[in-house]
Amino acid sequence: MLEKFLIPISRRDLLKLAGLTAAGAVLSSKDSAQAAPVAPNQSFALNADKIPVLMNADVCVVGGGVAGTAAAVTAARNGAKVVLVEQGIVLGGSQTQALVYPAMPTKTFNSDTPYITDLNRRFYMHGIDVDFDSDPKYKNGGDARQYTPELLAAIYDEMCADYKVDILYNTTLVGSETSGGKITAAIVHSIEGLGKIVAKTFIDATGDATLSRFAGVECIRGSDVTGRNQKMSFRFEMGGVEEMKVYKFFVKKLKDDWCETKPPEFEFAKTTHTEKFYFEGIQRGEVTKDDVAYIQAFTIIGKPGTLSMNCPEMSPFVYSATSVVDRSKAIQQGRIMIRRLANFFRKNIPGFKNAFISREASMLGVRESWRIRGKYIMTKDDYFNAQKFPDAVCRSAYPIDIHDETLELNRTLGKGEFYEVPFRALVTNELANLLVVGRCISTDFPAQAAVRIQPTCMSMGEAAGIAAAYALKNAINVNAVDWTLIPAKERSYVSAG
Amino acid sequence: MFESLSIPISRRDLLKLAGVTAAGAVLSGSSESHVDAAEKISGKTVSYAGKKIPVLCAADVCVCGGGPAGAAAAVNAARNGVKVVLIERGVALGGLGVLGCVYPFMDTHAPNSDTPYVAELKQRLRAHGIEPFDGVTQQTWHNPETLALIHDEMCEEAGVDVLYQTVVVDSFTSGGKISAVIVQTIAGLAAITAKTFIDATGDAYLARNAGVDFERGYEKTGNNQPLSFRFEMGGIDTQKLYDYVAIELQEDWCKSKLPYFEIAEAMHRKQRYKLEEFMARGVETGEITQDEAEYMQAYTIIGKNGVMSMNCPEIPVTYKATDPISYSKAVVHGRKMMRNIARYLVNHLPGFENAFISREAVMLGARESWRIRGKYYMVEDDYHNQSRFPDAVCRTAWFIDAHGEKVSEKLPKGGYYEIPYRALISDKVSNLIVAGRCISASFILQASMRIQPTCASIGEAAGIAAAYGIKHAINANQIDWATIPAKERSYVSAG
Repeated sequence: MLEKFLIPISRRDLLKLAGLTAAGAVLSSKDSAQAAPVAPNQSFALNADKIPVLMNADVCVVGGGVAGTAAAVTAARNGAKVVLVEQGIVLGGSQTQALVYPAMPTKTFNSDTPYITDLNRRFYMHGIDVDFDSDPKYKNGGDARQYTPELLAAIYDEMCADYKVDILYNTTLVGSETSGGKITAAIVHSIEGLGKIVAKTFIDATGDATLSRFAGVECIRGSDVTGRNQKMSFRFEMGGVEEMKVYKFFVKKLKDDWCETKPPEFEFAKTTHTEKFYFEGIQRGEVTKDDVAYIQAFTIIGKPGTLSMNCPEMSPFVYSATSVVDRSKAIQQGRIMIRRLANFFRKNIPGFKNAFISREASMLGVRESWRIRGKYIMTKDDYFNAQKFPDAVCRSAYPIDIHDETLELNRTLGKGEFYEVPFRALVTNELANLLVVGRCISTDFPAQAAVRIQPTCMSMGEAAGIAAAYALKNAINVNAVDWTLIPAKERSYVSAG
Repeated sequence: MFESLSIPISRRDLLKLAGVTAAGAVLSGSSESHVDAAEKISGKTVSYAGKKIPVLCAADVCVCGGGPAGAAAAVNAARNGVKVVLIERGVALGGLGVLGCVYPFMDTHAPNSDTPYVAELKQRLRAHGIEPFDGVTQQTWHNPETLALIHDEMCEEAGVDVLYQTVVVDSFTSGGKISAVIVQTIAGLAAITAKTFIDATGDAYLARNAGVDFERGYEKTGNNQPLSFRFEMGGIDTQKLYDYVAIELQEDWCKSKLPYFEIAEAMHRKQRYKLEEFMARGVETGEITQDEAEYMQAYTIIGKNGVMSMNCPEIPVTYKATDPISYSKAVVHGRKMMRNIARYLVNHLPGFENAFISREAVMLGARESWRIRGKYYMVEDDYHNQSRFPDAVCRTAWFIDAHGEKVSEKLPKGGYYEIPYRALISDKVSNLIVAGRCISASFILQASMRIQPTCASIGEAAGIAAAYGIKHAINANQIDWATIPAKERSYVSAG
């Protein structure tokens, strides 16, 4: 018999779990008293008492993306028993599933929190150096990190094993139980059926604020000017590319100065120097205007001949990131656009002659969907003022990056300036034992466009993990944690303010 | 404004569901009050788990799972004139054949086994420049990215509404009939109503949920078939690999030539492969484990030069396809095995010097998990006796391939058995058809019928039957396949 999880499941729970499948009925939602067919307002009696407890943990992190993995690893490192619930079979979310590569830069010095340093060290141990802070070439600090997706997946598993995080893969959040202003259980769907995860503290790292929404937290979505969410992307990778030929085409032939480096580290994008090239493609009918609205491609360290394509971008006028119908249609349309783009590159760029689509993302790249309204709502003014907070959990100088020309706020911070993210943006007044991390923290639309990048999401997750473990040890509610009272050496970040 | 689902739900309802509410309006988070407003408009909500949730759509046929069987079922039902919604948890159709990196499709070994849908898939691959025929075997060499696109194209042409990123959570069943499934979408829980449901989840999830009897694993050991965690490697010099394996080692396992080339070794099989020794050396030096050396196979992928589809690692059977905790541990263990195998090949196998992992599967390769007990229960004798059924939906002769438990002899040349429609339905639920690897069959027989072309043919028949039942007002589990006019059937028994 296989070893079970490190977290003890009570014998009764185990029996319940066993009984669940033996009986053949996963849920007792089929009372014959409730007659068919479905009429409006008919009640489906999901009997929550009959759902077995799958796990019992100190901290349950929902979502194994950039922020959730950091939260789980850090909480476990600080002594909590942690279960990490992930819908797919790989941690890393946007990084490994949506193929968002490389991680965008914070553009400021000293933004690396200890978790990021640990991650970078692990990459170095695997032969890939992503630590550019010390490299004089990157004069602004905090540059883009090249986390090769497949290696990152293995390193995340390794970190979870080292710090004893129990990962529950292939498991989807489908509900929550709340009582007395606390979440008591997350209800999840696994291959076997529905199950409950009981925990003292919950961390919502779903990116879509799914747990928060289930539990009744107020949420906002989209721009308050346009009502639209940020654009989604459907990214992919192309193999069989001769990078040197591509480099020569853009730099020598089209005289593009976008990229300052040469292969093996190279990128190209649609710029003022190259837009004619794409425009001609539209005129020849090879691509549409939407296909080439945004074009970018990066070489990938450890995957020679492979480019990570940061496109196509899906029109926000057509596809909303908060609609399931739209997301489905965006996937279908995006796949057609990927195909047209690949054919266009093959036909028109030397070096792409033998190239092929080597991998499509297994999730859409969602920049923004729902955001919670927490104790503090970060605003664009916090960005413009380079705001510091006593309870700051990280810093960044990444700009407000909305991908909507009508909303771009072009003023960027001055050299050396940065802003901070306060802990209070990760907690709510409504729920005492909930932390929210990642792109769905409490911000307005423009501020979210700045804090949404991977290193910032990692640092938020890390801080949430520390706060969760600290609150448990000191028997306080996580939404009452005063980050400034945690001893500085236990904090991942201390405000510069 | 976007096009709506072709299944009519009121326009305003759709607006609401799609989240095109007033600009940036504060929603009071819970799906409940989100829906309250929608309810005022249409009244189209249901209560579930104490909350009001929207009815996302009302279809004729709801297909749960977009793998080889489910995609076939959806397209065929829609082509036969009914309104179909297809629910898929990922962002691509094709299941194991796309998300699970299981390619090529294995060969049925049966003459003339291609049903019209399977033949059409091959034809469409050709039209996209992917020739699936290697000139020798009947394996289908496809290209996963192209197949994903083809599935989308077929759904669009047939008018199937695909709901991606949507997970089937629960069902409402009473009086032996399913009236709705509850799904989790990005926006929260929702209900989908339909007249007929097709369970193509692979795990018989909907059937189990609705109260159909089921089994799992081998009755003698309690084990499921082993899971695989497949992946792709790029940067391979396939010519050099061919020269080494086919010419220098004189391995004649692969009957076809480049670009259709495979290497293999399987220590548990009777057949001895030349690469067994190569893998055994890795065990001796401590570079790989015995588990990692047990099974190694790699196929070229048409249209992806220098990339091979790795049919390994095979994860030990102590990890169970029917236990969510064990499944999770299998992912972590499998990823370690994958990296060890890849490193070993890079270090030692000619042609792999510059190779790298280019893609991991996004679902484990589950050969077998749960299986229903339907009106007809297929058993091992059906294989050996080459059973024929008046209500047959397809034929196959793929051998009994229960990794680690039993590997049968192949049937005599030209031999095959058939799969009856009754193995797709049960007495318990009248409007449910099950398609794919989880139909009603014993563990041993399932080890033969589980391959992708067979699952696609089963799905095709399920789609045809679902549409036929709705048109003729016959419950799905009372349809006699044999009475459907032969020209409407995808397969007619050879009797």
